[in-house]
Amino acid sequence: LSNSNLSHNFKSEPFTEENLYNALSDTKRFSASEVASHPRARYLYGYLKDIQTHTLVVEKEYVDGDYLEDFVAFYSTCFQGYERFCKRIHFFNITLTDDELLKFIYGELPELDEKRIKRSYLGFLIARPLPKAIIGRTVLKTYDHEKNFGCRYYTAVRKYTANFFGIDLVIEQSLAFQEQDKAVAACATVALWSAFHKSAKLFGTPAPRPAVITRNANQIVRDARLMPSSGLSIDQICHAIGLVGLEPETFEITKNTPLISIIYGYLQMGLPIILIAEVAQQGSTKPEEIQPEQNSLGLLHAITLTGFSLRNDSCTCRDSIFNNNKRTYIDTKGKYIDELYGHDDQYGPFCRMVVKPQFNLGKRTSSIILEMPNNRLYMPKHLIIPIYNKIRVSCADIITIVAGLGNFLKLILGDGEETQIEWDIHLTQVNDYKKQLRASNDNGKYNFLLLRSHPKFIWRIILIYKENTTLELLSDATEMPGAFSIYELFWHDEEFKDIIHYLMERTQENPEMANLRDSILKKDLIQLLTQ
Amino acid sequence: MAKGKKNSRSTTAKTSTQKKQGKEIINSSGKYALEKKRLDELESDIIIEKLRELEDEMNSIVAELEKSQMITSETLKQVVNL
Repeated sequence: LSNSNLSHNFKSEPFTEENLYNALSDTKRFSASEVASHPRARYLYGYLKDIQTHTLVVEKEYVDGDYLEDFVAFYSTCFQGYERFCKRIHFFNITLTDDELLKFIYGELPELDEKRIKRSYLGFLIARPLPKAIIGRTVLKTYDHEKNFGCRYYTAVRKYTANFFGIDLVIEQSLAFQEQDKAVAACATVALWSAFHKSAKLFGTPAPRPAVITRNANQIVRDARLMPSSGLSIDQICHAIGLVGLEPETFEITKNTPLISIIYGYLQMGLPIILIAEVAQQGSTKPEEIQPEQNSLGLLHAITLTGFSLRNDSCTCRDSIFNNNKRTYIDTKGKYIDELYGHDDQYGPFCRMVVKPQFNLGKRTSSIILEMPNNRLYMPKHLIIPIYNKIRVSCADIITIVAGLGNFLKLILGDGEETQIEWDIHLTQVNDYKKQLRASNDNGKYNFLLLRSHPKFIWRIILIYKENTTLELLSDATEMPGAFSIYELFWHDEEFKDIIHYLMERTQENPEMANLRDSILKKDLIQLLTQ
Repeated sequence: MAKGKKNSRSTTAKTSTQKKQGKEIINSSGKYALEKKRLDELESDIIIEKLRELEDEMNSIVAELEKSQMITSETLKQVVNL
């Protein structure tokens, strides 16, 4: 084949706004000027620019499995002749020409140049031949960790490989995104679809395509028609999760839900969280002064959370629980989260959501509100986490333990309201935990943890006191409800151990005090603490 | 509280006391130093009262956290459709 024939199959162009919109356009249905006003396309241009894209390569005829399934389920039966082929657009952070790419495909480039091209790969997106929902499966590299002063953590991500004319191009960290088409999939379906991409890697469960997710979800009673899909109920979302062999861990958010601690607890392990939020329009109101009943648009929206920004030097929002007008604080590492990142099909992949605390919680329904671009606010209502069925102990169960222990220690250490006690609570898998232990430079202090057997899923509960890591508890996440799940307790700091042992002895001396202590902490925990 | 008295109570904990700036403290390195005044408070009724309050608070916390994990039939019907 001559080079001119091959140019029909792909074309490389410098990355510019105009070239991107041209590449996304469809001569029959969606012109480049229409693409230019498409919010997701505009978001993607900004994102691609930020990750230093220099070249885009359009693969003109591409069969995308996800779109094909939607095509079979819906578009093929329409009178309008929808195409079944898509375009796939690849992105590179170096300048490339068609000739160079041909040599790359034919294996005619020196090894070093070949490696350079592979390293420069930033991902791809599928341009669907649809009137408005043009953004199909999109897999793009995340922003660098350093981009936000070393604070960005993208955890619900995985490795993808794209086959570029016979060459495997790897994206080490991403999570597939697509926008809803309102025919086969609404926001809840695409949020589930993204989440299943990650849970498939974590738990070996299936990652069904959007049409299958919508169909599965609608197996239970429904008030609206299956397709065109007008959305899923919470019940249907939970049902769709059950059908891939996972359990929906659900949290109904009130002002007393330790929301940010729960988000951190699951996201740290890389579990994707589906956040259901009520949408509000900010107008001239500051996020802190939003009145949900006044500003709400009365719509619920689903977003897949993929990561967070953690600023260890400044607290954004302390979780707390109200009781008789008294506020009990639960200080976890989550309080340093100032931004959440999520796949939001109203915006795009890895979209930034700024965490805004709600100060006067009297009438509030959530302790935080999320500030989005374009004057929009999200008020969190529910969290749904697709988890492996053997993870039976929830983050809320763990928070119950630490709330008791933390407040007891605060009291006997005499810290007052501005506590110096902080918790790092997160779920982990035994193999990841042991890898972390091996990588830590602790002179073999924790070798006993490498040799002992652990449950497959563990809640790590780390106590930080006066900025020192002092104590760690391991909870068996597979334990039955109501049982005492802590199976290991060890001290990172011997001085702290001495002082706690001493204080525990002192509280033992007074029978009344000892009884109250036993009621707050439970005997099993006291036994571990005093060993 | 005299040093001897403290030592007689503490049989296993490897704690120590020292005079620092005129205050008796526990934990010699001073990293987690507790003033003697604080230790005396542990014997007072105030701390027992605070523990009683904490016990009540804990019951509410447990109830609230349990509530957050219970989804009502009304919630299940809510449609996510933006």
